Amino acid sequence: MIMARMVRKAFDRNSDLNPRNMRLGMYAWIIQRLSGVYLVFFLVTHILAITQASMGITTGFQAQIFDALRNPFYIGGSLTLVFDLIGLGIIAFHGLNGIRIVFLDLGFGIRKHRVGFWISMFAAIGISAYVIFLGLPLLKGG
Amino acid sequence: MLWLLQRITAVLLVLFLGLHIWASNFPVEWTATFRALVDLALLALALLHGLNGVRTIILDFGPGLQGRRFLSATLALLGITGFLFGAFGFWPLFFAR
Repeated sequence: MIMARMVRKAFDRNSDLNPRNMRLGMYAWIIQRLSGVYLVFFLVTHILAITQASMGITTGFQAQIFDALRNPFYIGGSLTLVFDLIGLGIIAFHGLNGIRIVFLDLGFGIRKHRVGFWISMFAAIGISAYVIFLGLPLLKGG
Repeated sequence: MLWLLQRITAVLLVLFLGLHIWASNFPVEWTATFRALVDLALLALALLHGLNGVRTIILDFGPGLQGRRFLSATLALLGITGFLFGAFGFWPLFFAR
């Protein structure tokens, strides 16, 4: 009922959320919100995973982290790691687009905000590719 | 005010996330206290920024006064609980028993 009203309102001809009225900045706003919601879930699972993993540890910080990742208490095992790696990509996007937003709020580059969006997008893809490349060995249990 | 908080925590989060991801992927020679401080700050900043973002999104759906009060109280409680839980959780990672 409420959902139906919200959807009808969103797709009203004059609505800002109607695709015919949406341009790049609006899509960026929506992706920023959705990635933010994903990151809240990511934060919850990250805190839970680290807390659970920290219950079975030995010595040395790096060894502890890798032990933690292989720990059976680590919720979901490698599935969680896939979720985490996707999370890293989304963190890169959300962070870089957030920097763009801060610059726009400070008044820099308002006329170039589309270029800024694409720069932050490509930088996010680059950073996430690099970090996933770093994280892949963990998937094999190495 | 909370808008400004969202911007400040955003910039700080980028810095601390950089340190956090760097320290978990490359060998660094930091003291346990410094690592713990970075992660403690990161936890607090992430909770502030994330829960404040959730609040903004829900407020955009236009809840009434009662709803807003309930929302703010719930999120504040969640934030404090999450901070304590997370801090107790990663404490043994830095300072072994």
